[in-house]
Parts: sequence; structure tokens; C-alpha cells
Amino acid sequence: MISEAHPILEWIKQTSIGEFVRSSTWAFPTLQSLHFIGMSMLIGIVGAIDLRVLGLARGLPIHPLHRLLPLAFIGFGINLVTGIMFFCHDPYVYAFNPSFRVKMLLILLAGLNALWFRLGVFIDVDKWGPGIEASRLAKVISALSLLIWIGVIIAGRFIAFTSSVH
Amino acid sequence: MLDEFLMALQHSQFATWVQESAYPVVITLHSIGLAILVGLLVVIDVRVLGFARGLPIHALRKLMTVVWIGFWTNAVSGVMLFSIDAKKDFYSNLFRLKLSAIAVGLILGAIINARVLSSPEPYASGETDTPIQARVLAVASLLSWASAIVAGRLLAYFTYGDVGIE
Repeated sequence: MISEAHPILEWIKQTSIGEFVRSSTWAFPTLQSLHFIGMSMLIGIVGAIDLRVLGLARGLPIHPLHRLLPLAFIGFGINLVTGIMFFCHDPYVYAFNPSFRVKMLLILLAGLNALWFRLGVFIDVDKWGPGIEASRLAKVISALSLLIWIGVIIAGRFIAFTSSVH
Repeated sequence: MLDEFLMALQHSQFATWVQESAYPVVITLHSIGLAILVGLLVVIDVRVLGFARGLPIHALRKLMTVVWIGFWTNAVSGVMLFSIDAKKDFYSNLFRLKLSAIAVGLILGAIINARVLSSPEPYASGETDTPIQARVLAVASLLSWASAIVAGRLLAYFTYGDVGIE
């Protein structure tokens, strides 16, 4: 079904990035390692903020927790770059894969959800010092954030199990 | 005797069930547990290194409970994954490296928890810099977990787990 060449995917596959990833047996496992390290940085930091907003480790003031966000963005950057490299490695594996599409959609939702936190409740973050409960809305957004990121991990793992290309 | 045990495990009904039915769920849980375990330890370690000084160090102890949830998720899912390839894994240098890195990471985590997060010294409240010994422990912790991730990822790609043998 997907055996015929697709012009855009074929071009992506023939880029030097794609050729580089295919050229060495080391490239893919090394990129995978980086992708998991980036995931831990991103989801660990975002998850810690979400858990605190939900009421765990209330001794942590929420505002300084956000100081760790640059590190979460570095994790995201690592995963964006390594993710693009996986895609170039063999675009046919990903482009038609339902799990990959769900994963991309969930990452987009996670971004919009974070934007909602930034625009909707961040103004109150200063008030949520040690021991102080966050607002109901902040808790809803944080619970969604945790669920969406867990969904991203699940969808990412299932790319390997829903592939129609071998 | 040991080989017989490993082969018996590998050919057990349990291992067959894991391989044929549970594998996608188990490997996904192993990734979620990783994100929780390593991700939250990243938060703790970077705070000990001096980032986000507004976070009181002793309040980070509450995150340790969740770190343990991640650890046990991965201990259980890890044993299940081991059962599928018991003999290959047992004799793999990468597998041994992964387990050693995890052991070192756990010991460092226990020391950081007992000595640094529970310290009565003023640095725990962010008034002064964390001592150099605490920072060394935090860097060693980050490196050991990164090593565990890299070894685990390579293990999935090199058949005998020994680099160069495919």
C-alpha cells in the first residue's frame, strides 16, 4: 500500500540527515539514548511542577520551580532534533503510522495546555508559596498536563507496534 | 545449573505470556517509570547543583516517594523484560553495565536523600551555596542515570548486548 515512492517523503529520506542516520549502526541507538535523556528532562521537570500544583510536596513554592523550565526546553530541543533525525532515517515508517500521528497531536495539545497555564493562571503563581494550595483551574490544567505527557510516552512506544512498514 | 535456570525462565509460561501478550504494555510502563524516576531525580540533582535556589531543599524529599513509585514500576517491568531474554541479558556486558549504573544511582540517591535533602545546614533553605561534596554527588547521580539509559537503549539494538557483536 505504501510501497510506492512519495515525492516529499523520498526527498526527506534522501537528505544528508537521513543518510547519516542510516550510514552507521551506532547512529540510531545513540539518538535513541539522547531521546530518552531529553524525555526525562522534559517530563521530569514539567511533571514536578504539575505534581506540586496538584498538592504533592507543598513545601515547594511554585514560582521558583518554573526556574527549571529552561532545562525542560533543552530536553524538548534535544527531542525535537533527535525526533526529526528519526523521521529522516525512514519517513515511511512514521508518516503513515497512527501512533506517530497521535503522538504529534498530543505534543501539540501539551503545548496548548502549557500555554493555557501561562495565560490563564501564571499571574497567580507568585502567591503559591510554600504550603499554599494552587487554584482549582491550575490543578485541572496540571492534571491534564500529566495525562497528556503520559499519553505522549505511550504513543511513542506504540510506534514500533503499529508500523505497517518493515 | 545457572544456565539451566536462565533457560527455564526464558521458556516458562510466564516469559511466553510476557513476550506474546504483555510486551507492548510492559515496555511502555518501563518508559513511563523511567521518566518518573530519572525525571524527578534530575529536578532534585539540579537544585542541589544550585539551580532554582528559591526551592527549599528539604521540601524536595516529598518527591522521593514518587521516585520510588517510578523505581518499582521499572523493577517489576524490568524483571518481566529480563524473563524474555534471560540468558542473553545475563551474559551481556551492556546489561551488567545498566544494572551497575542503577545500583550506583540508587546508592547516590540514598546518600543525597539522607545527607543533603535532610541537612539542617543553612544551604538547605537556599541561604548559602550547597557544599562541593553535595554537588559532586549530584553530578555523579546524573551521570549514573544517563549511563543506565544509554546502556539500556544500546541493549535493545546490539543482539548480544556486546558492542561489535550483532
